[in-house]
Amino acid sequence: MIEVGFFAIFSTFCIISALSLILQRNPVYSALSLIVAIASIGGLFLLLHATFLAVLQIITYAGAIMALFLFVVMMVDVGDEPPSAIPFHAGPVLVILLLIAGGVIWAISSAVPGIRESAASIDFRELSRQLFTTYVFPFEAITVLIISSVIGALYVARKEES
Amino acid sequence: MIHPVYFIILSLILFFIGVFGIFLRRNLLVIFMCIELMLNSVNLAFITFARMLHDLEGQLVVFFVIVVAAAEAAVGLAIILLVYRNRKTVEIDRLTTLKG
Repeated sequence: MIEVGFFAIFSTFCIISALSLILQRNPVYSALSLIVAIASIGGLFLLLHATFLAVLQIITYAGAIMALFLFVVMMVDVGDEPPSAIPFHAGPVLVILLLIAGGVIWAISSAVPGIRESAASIDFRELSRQLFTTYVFPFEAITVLIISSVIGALYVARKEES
Repeated sequence: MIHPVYFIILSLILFFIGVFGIFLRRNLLVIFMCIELMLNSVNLAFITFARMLHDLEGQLVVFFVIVVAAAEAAVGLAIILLVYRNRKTVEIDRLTTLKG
């Protein structure tokens, strides 16, 4: 019963802050609402027994990535969008997206089976062992990816010498 | 025990909010944030399926997605800074040089 309550709280927070992300005029407020949305998604990860990923979500996403975002938003200093900035095609796009979303939700709502309870539950030890045995090549590849992306970002954002 | 279909529906709703935000907003930074929101909603669907099927691989994929998103954010924000330095704006309506 308490799970249902937490699910209601987290999902409401999630949807409200996602709507606030796309409806705010100031990018700083958009970034702050995205932090709330990401933290509530981390709470939903906890409800799904993904403890390690919930921690990673809070530390990496809500901490590191969003701090980077806020930093750039404040450096760029764009200010508020004018109220007339809503493009003309937003209405038809909204209708089409609502149709697609309604269709997909109608299609999957009867097709998803419930959770089978079994003795083998996913735990942190098993996750780490998989990560460093079966998935050791993707793990090493992703370290190379992140190093090269950081070097690339430094190169792109460097000061031009005149 | 919550039925997993509610998690899937929530992830779909968040994904479509992100897609609509890309069409609605004119600011490059906010469009980038909408992409992050869509990545997060897909992560939620992955973890729901991992819980549903008692399979570890969904959680491993989410781990890799989070790391790739960090790399993507670093490169993307550097590009946005470069655009702002060259053009003094991040409104996509004013970035029309490619169109001629």
